[in-house]
Amino acid sequence: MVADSEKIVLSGTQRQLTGSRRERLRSLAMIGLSASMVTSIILVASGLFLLLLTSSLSWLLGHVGTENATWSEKLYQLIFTGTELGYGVSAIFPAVLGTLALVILMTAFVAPLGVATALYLTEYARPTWYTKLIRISITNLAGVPAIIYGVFGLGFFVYGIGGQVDQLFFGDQLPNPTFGTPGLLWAALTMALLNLPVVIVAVTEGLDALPGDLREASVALGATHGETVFKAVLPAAMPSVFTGLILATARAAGEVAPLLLVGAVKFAPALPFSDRLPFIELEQKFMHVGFQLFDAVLFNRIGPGDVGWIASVALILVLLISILNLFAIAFRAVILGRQEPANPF
Amino acid sequence: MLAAKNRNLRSILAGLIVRLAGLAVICALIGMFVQMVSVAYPILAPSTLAPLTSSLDDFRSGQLLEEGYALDATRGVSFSVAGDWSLEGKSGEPWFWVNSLTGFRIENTDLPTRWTAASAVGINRGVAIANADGLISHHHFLASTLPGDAPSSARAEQIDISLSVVSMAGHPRLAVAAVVSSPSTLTIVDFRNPQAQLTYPLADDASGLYWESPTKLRVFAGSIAEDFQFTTTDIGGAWSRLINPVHYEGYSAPNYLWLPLPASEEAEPKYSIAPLLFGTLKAASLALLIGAPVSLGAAIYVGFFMSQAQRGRIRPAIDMLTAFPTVVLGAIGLFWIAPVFETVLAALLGVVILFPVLITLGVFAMRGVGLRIVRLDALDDWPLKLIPLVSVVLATSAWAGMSVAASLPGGSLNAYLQQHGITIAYFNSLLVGLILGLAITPTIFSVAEEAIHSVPKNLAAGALALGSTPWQSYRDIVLPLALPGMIAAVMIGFGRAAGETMILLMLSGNTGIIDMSVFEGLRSVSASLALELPEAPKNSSHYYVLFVMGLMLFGVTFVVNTLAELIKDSVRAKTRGG
Repeated sequence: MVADSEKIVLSGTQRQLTGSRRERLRSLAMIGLSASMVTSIILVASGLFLLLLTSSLSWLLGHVGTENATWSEKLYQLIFTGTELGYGVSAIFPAVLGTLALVILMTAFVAPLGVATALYLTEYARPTWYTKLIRISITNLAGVPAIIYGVFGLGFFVYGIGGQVDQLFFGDQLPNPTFGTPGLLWAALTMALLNLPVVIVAVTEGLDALPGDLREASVALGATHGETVFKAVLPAAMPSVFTGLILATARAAGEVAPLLLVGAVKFAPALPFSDRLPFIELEQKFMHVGFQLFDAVLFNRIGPGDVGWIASVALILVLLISILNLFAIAFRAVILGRQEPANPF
Repeated sequence: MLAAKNRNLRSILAGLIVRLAGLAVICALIGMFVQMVSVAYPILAPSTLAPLTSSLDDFRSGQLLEEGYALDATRGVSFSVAGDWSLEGKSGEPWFWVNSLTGFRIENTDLPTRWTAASAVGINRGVAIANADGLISHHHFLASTLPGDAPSSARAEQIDISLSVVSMAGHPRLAVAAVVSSPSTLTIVDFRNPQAQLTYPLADDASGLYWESPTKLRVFAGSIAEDFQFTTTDIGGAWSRLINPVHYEGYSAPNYLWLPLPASEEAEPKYSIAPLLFGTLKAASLALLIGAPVSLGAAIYVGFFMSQAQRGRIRPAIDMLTAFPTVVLGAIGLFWIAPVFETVLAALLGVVILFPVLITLGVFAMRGVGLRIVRLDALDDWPLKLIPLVSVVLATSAWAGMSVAASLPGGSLNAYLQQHGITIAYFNSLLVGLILGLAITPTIFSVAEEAIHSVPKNLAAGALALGSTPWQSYRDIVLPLALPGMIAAVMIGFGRAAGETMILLMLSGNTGIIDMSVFEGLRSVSASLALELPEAPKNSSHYYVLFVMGLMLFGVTFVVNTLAELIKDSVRAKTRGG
C-alpha cells in the first residue's frame, strides 16, 4: 500500500510540480471554472424553485383565471373543490390523501423487511463471497429504473397474484376483476420493492458504521446473540433506519412512473380510507399528487390559470419531498455525530 | 436456569425470523428477474403444430371447399386488393391487375406464371404462389402512390420445400401459409421466419385445406378431414425481427418500425425495438453531454478545494436535488421551456460558448483588481463569492446568444435553421437532453464528489508543499486516482438517464423513428413501457415484447451499475493505503 502511494507521488514528480506564473494563472482559471459550476447548480436549482413559487403566487394573488376569487378562495378551491376552477383538473386534497395511504402502506411493508434483511446481511450471515455479491446486487438494484419495478408489479402482482386471488375468492364477480386490476395494494407492494434496496443499503451502512466494541461488550455482559442484535445494535442504528425509511418515503411520494402501471388514476370515486377494517381500501384505485401533475400536464389543458395551478401542485410536491429529505439529512447528521467518538484515531 | 433457556430460545427464534425474512427478500429481488424472464419467454418460443381430435362434418367441409377455399390453378384465382383493384391469375398465363369499376386490365409481370397453388396471405395484403417443384414465393401488395394507378407487388421471401404442392391456404392474419403436398405431407411455411418450417405427415394424400380460425387448420384427405392446432406469436419465433430491419407487408424495402397497435385490425403489428433503443441512447447521451461537465466540475471543486465545513453544508443541499421529482422537471420543461425553446436554445449556445471565457476573465479581473473587495486567495468558499460574477456572466452570455440569434439572416434561430432545411420539432431531443441533464446532474455529482473526496489529502498536500499550484496537485495527484470513480459516476448517470421515464414521456414527443437529428423527437424504451403496457392485452405478443424491452433495460442498467460499483471498489482498495 505504501509502495502504491509513493509511486503516485513519484509519477507526479515526473511532471513539473513547481508552479510557474502560467501554471498559477491556469490554476486560478480552472478553480474558478469548477467553483462556478457549483454556483451554477445552486443558481439553476433556486431559479427553478423561484419560477414555481412566483408562478404559483402570481396566480393566487393576481387576477388571472377566476376573476373575482380572492387568494383564500383560490387556495380553498385548489385544495378541496378543484373542479370549480373549470379546467377539468381535480383538487389536491384527495391526491394528498392517496399519496399518504400509499406511503403508509409501503412503509408497513418495507420497514420490517428492509431492517430484517440488513440485520441478516450484517449480523447473521457469515461474510463470504456470496454475501458480498448480494450486497453489491442490492446496491445496484437501487439504481435500476423505477419503471422496471412497475413492469414487474403489473406482471407479477396485478396479473399474477391478483388474478389468482380473484379466481380463489372473488370467482362470482369474474370476469370483472377485484384484485386482478391495478390498485392501492399492488402499488404499495411495487413501491415497497422499489424502495427495499434503498432501505437495506441505508440500514446496512448504519450497522457497518457501529463499532464492534458494542457487540463485544454486549456479549461479554452475558447477552444472547438475539439480545445483542435487538437491544444493543438495532437501537444504536435507529437513526440510519429512519434515514432509510424517510428516503424511501420521499421516493414513493415523488416517483410516478411505476404508478402509471400499477394503480394511480386521475379521478378516484372515493378516498382510499374507510371506517371498516383494515381502514384502507386495498383493492381501490387511488389518486397521487405526482400522477395528478403528470395527467394535467400530459393532457395539456393550458388555460390562463392552469400554469399557476400546475406550479402550485408542483410546489406542494417539491416542498413535501424536501421536508422529508431534510429530516433524513438531520438523522444522518445524528449518525455521523455518534460515529465520531467511536474512532479513537 | 429456566430464564436463561427462554432467553436462548428467544434468541434462536429471533435469528430464525431475521434469517427467513432476509433470505425471503433476497429471493424476491432475484425472483423479480426470473419472473420477468418467464413472462417474456413465450415471444421467443417457436411456433407449433399439433393434430386435434375433433368431430368432423364432411358435408359442411365439402361445401366450404366448393365455395372456393381450395384454389384451383386451372380455373383461375382472384384476390381483391386495395381500392377497387383485384389480382387475377390462371396458371400458365400472366397475372393481371383488374379494376372492378372500369374493367381496366394491366399485366403484372412480377409474379411467376407457372404455378400449382396460390393463396391470399393475411387480408388483402399479399399473395403466396407455389409451383410444382415446391418453390413458394410471398409477394406484398404495395398501394400505388397515385390515385387511380394499379397497385404493385414486391417479393419478400422465397422458400423451397422441395415437395410437389397440391394445395395451399394463406393464414387469415399473419404472413404464414399452410401447404399440402404429395406424398401426403402438411407443411406450415412461415414467411416471417423462413428457416422454421413445420411439417406433419398425413395418413392419406390431401386434396385441400383451409383455416377455420387463426389457430385452427382443417385438412381434407380423401373423405376425412383432419384438424390441426397452430400456435404462434406475432414474430413467429424470429427474434431477429425485433432488432434487424424487417420487410413489413405493404413496404417496398426492409425497415425499422415500431407500430404494435396498427390503425386497422388486419394490418400487421410491427415490433422493431431498434428505434426505441436508439431513442433511449440518444436521450441519455444528450443528457450526459449537458449534465456531465457541470456535475464533474462541481464535484472537483467540492471534493478537493472546498473546506470540510463548507462541504458539510453544500453536499447535502445538492444531494437533496437527487430526489427532486422528475415529474416536476417534466412539467417545467413542458410549460416554461418548450414554448420558448428557440430562445432557450440560443441562450444555451451563448452560455456554452461564452461561459468558460467570461468566467476565466472575470476571475482574473477579480484577482487583479478586486483583491481587497473579494478575497479570492482562500479557496474555501468561492462558489458563494462567485454568485454575483456567475449571475452576471450567465445573463450576459445568454443575452449575447439571443442577440446573435436575432441578428442571423432570417431574424431568428428557427428561421435561420429553416433556410438550411432544418426544422425544430416542438418536442425535440435537445429539449429532452437539457431537462434530463438537469435531472442526472446531482446523481453524477454525488458519486464523483465521493470519489474525489476519498483520495487521501496527504498525497495532494505533499505536492502542494513541493510548490505545485492547487490545480497541478489536483490534476497530477488526485485526478489519476479519482478518475475511475468519476467514470463510474458518469456510468451511473447514464443508467439513470436511460431509465428515466416521466421526462421522456412528457417531452420526447414519443415518435418511434431512427433520426440522427437532435431537432427531432424520439421515443424511449421507458416511455413505451409506461404508455403501452397498461393497454397491451395480457399474454399478447405486444405484452411479451414490452417485457423483453423491460428486461433489456433492467439488464443494461444492472450491468452498468455493477461495472461502476466494481470500478469504485478497485479505487477504494487502491487509495486505502494512502
